Amino acid sequence: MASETPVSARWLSDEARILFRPYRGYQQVAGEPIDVAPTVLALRRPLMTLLAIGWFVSMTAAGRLVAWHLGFAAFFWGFLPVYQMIVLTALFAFFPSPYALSWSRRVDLYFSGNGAWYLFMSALVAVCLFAPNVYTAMSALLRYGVLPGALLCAFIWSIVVSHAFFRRGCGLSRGRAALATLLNYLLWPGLIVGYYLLTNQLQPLMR
Amino acid sequence: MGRLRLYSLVAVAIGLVSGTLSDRTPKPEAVTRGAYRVLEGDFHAHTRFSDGFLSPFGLVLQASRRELDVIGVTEHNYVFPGLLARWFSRLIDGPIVLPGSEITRRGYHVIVLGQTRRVDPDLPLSEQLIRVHAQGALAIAAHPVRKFWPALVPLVGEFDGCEVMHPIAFRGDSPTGWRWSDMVEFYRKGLARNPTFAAIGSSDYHFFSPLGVVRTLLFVRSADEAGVIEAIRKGKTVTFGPHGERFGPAELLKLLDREPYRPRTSDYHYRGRGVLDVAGRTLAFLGFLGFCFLGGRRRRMGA
Repeated sequence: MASETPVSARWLSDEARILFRPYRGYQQVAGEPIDVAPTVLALRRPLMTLLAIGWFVSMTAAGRLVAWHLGFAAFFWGFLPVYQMIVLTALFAFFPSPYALSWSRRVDLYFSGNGAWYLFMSALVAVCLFAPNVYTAMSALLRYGVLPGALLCAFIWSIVVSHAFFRRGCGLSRGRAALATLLNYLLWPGLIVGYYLLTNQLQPLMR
Repeated sequence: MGRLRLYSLVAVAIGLVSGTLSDRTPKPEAVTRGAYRVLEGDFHAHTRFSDGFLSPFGLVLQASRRELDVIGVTEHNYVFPGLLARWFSRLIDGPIVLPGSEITRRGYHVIVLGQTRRVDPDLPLSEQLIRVHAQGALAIAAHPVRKFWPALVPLVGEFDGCEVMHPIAFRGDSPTGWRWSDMVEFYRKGLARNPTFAAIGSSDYHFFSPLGVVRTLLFVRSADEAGVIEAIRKGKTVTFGPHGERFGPAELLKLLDREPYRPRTSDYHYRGRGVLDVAGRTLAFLGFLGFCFLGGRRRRMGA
């Protein structure tokens, strides 16, 4: 798999390149050599996801970045990247990649596709920090469908990015990439729904 | 890591140091009215264990930031996060935490406060209320709008109180039919059956900043968990409507007439305190964006 190093690579992160052009981005990024130890590779972007969650929780709750909010949120939301890594491992087993990519590299590539969610979280934090009246602003964003619309867009785009990961990042065929994407979005949200069922938070609502 | 990314990380780090140092809320001074100590409480809050954002520990910190003396941690049908929050708050000498839950069924919601054992949400409501009281806990009808009346009204006398003030009061007519006027009417029904029916105001907090945006004044004999439970059980609570209406027993309203009390306000609008705090927040925001989306790495031709 050969790729030319684009000029954008000097200015944009892998997350940005994948966010704006998922298929080309993954093709380029997956083809670039990496000189990082496997353990660091497997952990750096999941940890970045936790940092992002901690940052988002702290900025929206306290309006500033506070060490204990960042730390507690990262700890208590730690299940999310762990769930995703478990699901990915299962999917890698079912859909082996024709590229010679290690498990760590594939995890690193997958988590490079979280740009849409980082952008969505940043937009909400921006409203909290910069809107003259946050309650009015959020109410308006809800009332006119902007907030739900943005959430839906982030979700849909993350599905597109996932497909691009399996297709161009892992080299799967069109059909297998689609199936892997579908299973990805059934399995890890399914684990979350499973948690709510296990703690009996959902069933009483239906009765 | 490229240079741009490194600078962004440094910006985030500066924002983190600035934010942590700026995040100081002094403990509120003790306030009395008559023979009572007055506490401010919010009795309906969720954590990330159900559908909130904050952890139980983060919720305790948020309560301190909002200058609340007491909170109720009330997950949907789930007590453990409340117990965790109470443990943490005791560790850091934080606000009083009443562990509890929100019994959540399609036909009603009930806030339980001072609970240590889960009450099966599949039992009939009458049986649930018996089991709540058997463990010394309180049952508060949560946002008792008309759609929940078929279940709640027949048992209104069995509740210790109800939420008479809630953020839906700020929203006007809701397309879902949740009306604040229904909550006020339910409160009056409760008061007619039970003169110590407590008036509770809660934020129903899930995320962002507004924990304590609606709060309850408690008139307690002792500023501890037992004192708070006793005060609610005896109806020694006052809460305020969106236009200054007051809900609570005449005795306490007279105390407030003699010596008015204004609930504490907090930084709901996320405003920074001073230039350094504002700069720190901005750096934390921009630094995060830069860290996520800027590269700056020299790359060799791939193979």
